[in-house]
Amino acid sequence: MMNQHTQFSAGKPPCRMLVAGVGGGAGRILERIGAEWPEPPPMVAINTDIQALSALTVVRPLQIGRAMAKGMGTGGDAGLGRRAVTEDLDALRELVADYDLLLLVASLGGGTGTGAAPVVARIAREEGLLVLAYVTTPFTFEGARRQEQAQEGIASLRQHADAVVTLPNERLHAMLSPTTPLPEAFSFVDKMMGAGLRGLWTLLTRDNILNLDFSDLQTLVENSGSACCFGYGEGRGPDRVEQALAQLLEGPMLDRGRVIANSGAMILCVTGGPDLALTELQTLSRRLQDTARQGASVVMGAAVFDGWSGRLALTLLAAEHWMPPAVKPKAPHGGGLFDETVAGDAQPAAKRHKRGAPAPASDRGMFKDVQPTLHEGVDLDIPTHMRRGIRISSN
Amino acid sequence: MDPIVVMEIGTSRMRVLVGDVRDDGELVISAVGDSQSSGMRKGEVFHFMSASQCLERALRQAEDMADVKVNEVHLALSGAQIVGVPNRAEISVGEEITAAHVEQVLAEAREIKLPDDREILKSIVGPFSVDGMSGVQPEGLMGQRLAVDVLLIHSRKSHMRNLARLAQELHLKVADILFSGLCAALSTLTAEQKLSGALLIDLGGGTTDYIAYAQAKAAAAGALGVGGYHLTNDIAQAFCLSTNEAEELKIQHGDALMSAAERTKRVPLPVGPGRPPRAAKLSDLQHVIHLRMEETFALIRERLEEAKVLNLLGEGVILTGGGAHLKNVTALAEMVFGLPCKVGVPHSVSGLNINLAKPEYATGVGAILHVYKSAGQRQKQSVWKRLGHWFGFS
Repeated sequence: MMNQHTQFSAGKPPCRMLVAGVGGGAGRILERIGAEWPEPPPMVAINTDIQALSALTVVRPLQIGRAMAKGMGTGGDAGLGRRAVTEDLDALRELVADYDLLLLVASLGGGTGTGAAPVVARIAREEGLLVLAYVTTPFTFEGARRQEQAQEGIASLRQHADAVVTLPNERLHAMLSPTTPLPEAFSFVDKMMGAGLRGLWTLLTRDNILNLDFSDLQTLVENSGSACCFGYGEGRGPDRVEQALAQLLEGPMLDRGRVIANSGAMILCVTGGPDLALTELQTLSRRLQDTARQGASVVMGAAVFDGWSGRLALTLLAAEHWMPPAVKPKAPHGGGLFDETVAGDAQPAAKRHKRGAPAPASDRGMFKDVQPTLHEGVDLDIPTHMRRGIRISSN
Repeated sequence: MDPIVVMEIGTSRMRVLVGDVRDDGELVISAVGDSQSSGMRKGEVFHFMSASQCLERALRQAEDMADVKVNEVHLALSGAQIVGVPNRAEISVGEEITAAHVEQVLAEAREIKLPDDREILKSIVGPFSVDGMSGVQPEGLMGQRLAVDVLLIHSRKSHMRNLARLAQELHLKVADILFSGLCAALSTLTAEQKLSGALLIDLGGGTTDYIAYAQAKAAAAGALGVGGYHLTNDIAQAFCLSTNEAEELKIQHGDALMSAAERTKRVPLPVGPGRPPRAAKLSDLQHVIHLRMEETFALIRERLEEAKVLNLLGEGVILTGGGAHLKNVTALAEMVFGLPCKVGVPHSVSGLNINLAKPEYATGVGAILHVYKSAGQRQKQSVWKRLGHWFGFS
């Protein structure tokens, strides 16, 4: 059952979005997509490394940890990254003050991205922003230490951000041919990350034929158990819908459709040219509904760009875990595609209530001074609910 | 016989138990000293002086109660460092099996390569078999091949030394060090349960010990560095409480299962004086606890699957330790293991004016039983040796 009507954003204040990249890797990703986007949102790169920052042209630089890092990188030390950012908490608060949504980008595994990104997320949430972290994790060949550090970073981000969208480099690896040169592999990661960010940004901030609403995103994020992932598919020519769907549903990014089958809530962003047909949107929504589990909420938005004739790109943001209703009743949501949301919820300008108590300084609490209990690289001293990204709603 | 004294050096409690063997041969626990621990983390000494003071308090309490002066103790310890590995040895005999053969095969079974910093804490001797016939008393039999299964429990040397030093600091001689999981099993599992297969999980403050019996032998054992304090810490972080407040909340309202009926129920959170009252959803508290306990049980389940004993536990799961008081913890264990589960309390030992029928006494009472039984065995052995000498055998 689908109610089909397009939704116009007339009279609604647009969502004010900031894109922030923390660490060197994220800075490069933003710089790259900034150069490609026609009208990019405000973007800022946060880093200790003055050299990396001075290389940026499109993205605004914000140097952190002047005293502690002295303008150098953190040398892969997440502890240093975390301490460095605490020097500049006021600057961060000022940076995020006028926005509703923060898309926080970090390449986890290194020092600044892993250590500082959770702090940035925490500050932004304290300022009332919805924080969506887009992170990449290292390739296996980058070594166990970076992998472990990245896992710790994700656990910490899940605690401080509203949702963490992970893009495991290993899954991307599966999309490349084994002989792909390394720089190409990394630039492919950047491209995918760019596609994910762009899909959301376009639909939230532009006047589109089918707009996404801030409250759609909020609903998804708050019921996601804070773990999300996204998939990308594109197609060209008359077959573009099938091509794009095949990439999306069968590609490794969403674990060959398994993520979709398990997810409780999804947002599909469609980007096409002026020739984008209504039947194409219907096909897309039907195919997605068929793959998704019953009762899953699927929201779709579509944007049209003049230069995109004959092209179609799909970005799907999916909540990775199904939240058992006993834990947190899912926010009432239409469930069908194209469902109109209650306008009262859709006020990005009216910021969400500020979060109550600030998060504790350390996730390990009373175990902060003792050797961690590790199981396959996971620190069992961190509360299970935090590691799994389950938010306890009482606070 | 001198009284048997055991010290249970745990992360949340220090206990000293005194066992007396009465003239009629019955074993009675005559005193229990019990003190809140400090200076311990995950079964290991973290701050020596405070741990030592706590242990002394428990010791003095037990000494006063039993009216004895303790000189020698047995320690029961846990710790995330503890690992159990099964091993088997076989020797060829070809004549009547003697005590020397038995000792030789046991020595071989105990021979495993360990890193320099580790040593064997305990070898649990399983059934002997002679020419493939298992469960026999080998001495005196004729046979070609003698084999034995053992479960070797090893730990880090420094861990054991530190705990022994705590006792030595109180001018006590440490007669032996025991694995607390094994002790808990000794006092709670019946012979029938060991034969048909059972899993004992001791839910301690800093660690969770387990030992699995299958096919009449100890088949797997170990410890996780996760315990009741982790629950407390999880709750403290989830609801922004101090450790003491979280502990109070856990004891009063803790529940390992989420109940649909109580979904909307709220529980008051402990607040400091003069602060506005706060409340939390009971279901949130249940959820935090559920996730941690489920994970802990699942980790043990995983290890038992690896050791291939999970399908051999016909008698189910027995929970001991303070954590066994948690509401619905047995129901959760039943779900995770798919086996019946109940709380285990010490049996077959009576206490003098002390109610020992509580899961937290399983380790202490088991340690006393262990010492009592092995002393009995030594006596028996020496009697046989003497007899053997008499008849000119050895």
